[in-house]
Amino acid sequence: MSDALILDGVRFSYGDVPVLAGIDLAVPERGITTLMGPSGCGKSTLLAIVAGLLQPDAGRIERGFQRAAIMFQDPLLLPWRTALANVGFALKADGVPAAERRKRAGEMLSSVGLSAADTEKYPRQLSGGMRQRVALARALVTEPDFLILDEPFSSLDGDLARQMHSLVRGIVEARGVTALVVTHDDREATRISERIATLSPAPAEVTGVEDTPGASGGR
Amino acid sequence: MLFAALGIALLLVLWQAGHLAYGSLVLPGLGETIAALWRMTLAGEVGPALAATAFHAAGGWVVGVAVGVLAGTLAGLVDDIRFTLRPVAIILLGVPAIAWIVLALLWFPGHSAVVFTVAVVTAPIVFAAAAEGARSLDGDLAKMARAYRAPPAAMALDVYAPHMLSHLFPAFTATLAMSWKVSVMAELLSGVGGIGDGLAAARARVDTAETMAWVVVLVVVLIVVDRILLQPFQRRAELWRETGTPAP
Repeated sequence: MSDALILDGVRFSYGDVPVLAGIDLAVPERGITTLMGPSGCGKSTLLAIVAGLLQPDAGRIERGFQRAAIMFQDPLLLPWRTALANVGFALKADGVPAAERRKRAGEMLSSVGLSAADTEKYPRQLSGGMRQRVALARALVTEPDFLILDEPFSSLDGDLARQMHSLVRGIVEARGVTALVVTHDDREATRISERIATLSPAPAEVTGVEDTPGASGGR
Repeated sequence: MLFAALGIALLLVLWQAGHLAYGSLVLPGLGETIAALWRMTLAGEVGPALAATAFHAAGGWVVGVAVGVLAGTLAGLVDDIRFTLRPVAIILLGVPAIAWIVLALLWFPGHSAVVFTVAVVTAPIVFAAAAEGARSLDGDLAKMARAYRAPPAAMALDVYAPHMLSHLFPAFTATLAMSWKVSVMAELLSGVGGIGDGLAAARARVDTAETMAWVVVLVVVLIVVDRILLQPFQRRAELWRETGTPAP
């Protein structure tokens, strides 16, 4: 199996404060790799670098994927757009015509469990779980082969978070995509991911990568 | 609605009482004012004057809004531009409208003086609102849009504009009403036509009924512009705040 992402000696500082002290990590194609580590160790910074939102100070990044999509801890939906328009927004970069955007956004929202009536609602009218589903649909509608999930379900209660993790797990398996996920929940990480990479406190390094016992079975 | 009607009725009663107390020369009655307005309308004075003032007010307002939104947006996005332009806006805001009118009459000929005056009074107010609107956008929303590689048009129309509108609407409403008042004031001094020119002529003839008739025309126009143009647009733009019930 080849790697979807290779990080080699990636370093990053915010001004004089070093955050990443040389990250070496290979993320194999397909399946979920979870990043764990103490708060403030630079997990979100690392994901932002992988997504291309930040440039590293040093190191090499080899992206073996065609297209990445990111999902943040906060759903970050446009409050003045309906769920449908929020998902369609992700397609604007590709110049997809409006009718096609609506169609694809509607189908994607349906696939993550939103009813037709909910697709016309504004974010303030949706529950926390539904807003996360919209954010997930927005990430998936661009048909990425690499998903970056930055603690996307940490604000949800236990059952709902597990439900959403299972949904992501199902999507990863069904679409054959690779996902890099940050979570604080080690039981959840073990349940949904193939491997777990652990970061040290900042300035962070990878202290270990281990395969989980269950891999993709029995979820 | 009932109380609004009650307020208007109270104002009309006070107007008529003032007329009865001080006479037609100081304050013409309702009937005299309506008769004067009817006479002016039949004589073909109201339509062209309205059109001229509308042209001056709308022209100046559009220019002022365009400059204010553009400069304000840049100032909201780039700190150095904000630090540079903010004192300029404060100084421009400090210049009284009447001073701008006098200067504009010296600098520009005819209609341009009125349009310039409206624009220069409008722009700093819109600038301040646009700068605050662009600056206060949730940075994470902009980060999300960048992550999805939103093209510039989507960035402007889907991300910045709806947020900025909530800051800009009060400025639009205030400056649109002000643009008519400043236009009338500038027309009164410049004699380039419009309601202000009509007011100047009525004043020269000491025709208080005609003066009041022009005031009535101006007030009606301001109310119509607000109710027909601004309020429906604002309701539509802010639909997302009011539609349905929020999730628990």
